[in-house]
Amino acid sequence: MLNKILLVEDDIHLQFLTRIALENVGGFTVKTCSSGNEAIQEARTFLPDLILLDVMMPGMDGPNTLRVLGQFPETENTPIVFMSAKVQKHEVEFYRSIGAIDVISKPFDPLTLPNSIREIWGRIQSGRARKA
Amino acid sequence: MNSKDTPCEVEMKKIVSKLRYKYYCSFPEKLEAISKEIQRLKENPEDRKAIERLYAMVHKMYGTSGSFGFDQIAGFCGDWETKLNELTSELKTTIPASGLDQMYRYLSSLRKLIEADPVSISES
Repeated sequence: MLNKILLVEDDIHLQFLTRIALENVGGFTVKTCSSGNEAIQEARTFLPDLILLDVMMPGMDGPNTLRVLGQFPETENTPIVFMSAKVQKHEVEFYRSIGAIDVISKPFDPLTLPNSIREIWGRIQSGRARKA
Repeated sequence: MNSKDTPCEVEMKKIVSKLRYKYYCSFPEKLEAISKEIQRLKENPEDRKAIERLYAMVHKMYGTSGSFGFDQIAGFCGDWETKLNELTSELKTTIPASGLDQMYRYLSSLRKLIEADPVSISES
């Protein structure tokens, strides 16, 4: 069951809006981070079911954060969903090729975001069931 | 608010409206930061860090303003981002004077667009 989400977004306004939507509309337990480095620390103790990761951040960007998270046993299998305004076909293919489960396109409607996340989670579970 | 909204949805829309206004209030600071980067580029057109910072700011405004429902501002920033992509991909090391003039025009238009946003002003 999807409960804990780690939200990684450096824009503090969007981070707060997204958090409120995920908590109040989606009913999720959300922890927020403003950078890739912070996410790597928090993910290993918070142990989220899913990570929502902004692509373009100062310092360590989303793809590099994903790569580092993949190196730790606590987070190597945690599904990561990118959030990005760069969602041309080749960009989405790149995100998937490096291990992202899906991509949320920016701008997004915060009120419908929780449903989008649940749909993605449903697909993850279906995929796991097929593999089992 | 929609009459069919549940109490939870009504409450959520009120919260979003407040956050939206807070975000709107941050625009002058963002415009100032963008202006400083363009000024840096005017002084040194080869300042790659300034180009990257300018790009990042415009890109963020595109994604965030749209999520707050500032669709016109988001659309404008999306166009600006495309223009920045063109300028920086064709001219790897420098932005020409004509490109800088365009950046100033984009900034001026964005300022007008923000100041003219009636939805935001009515929410104050």
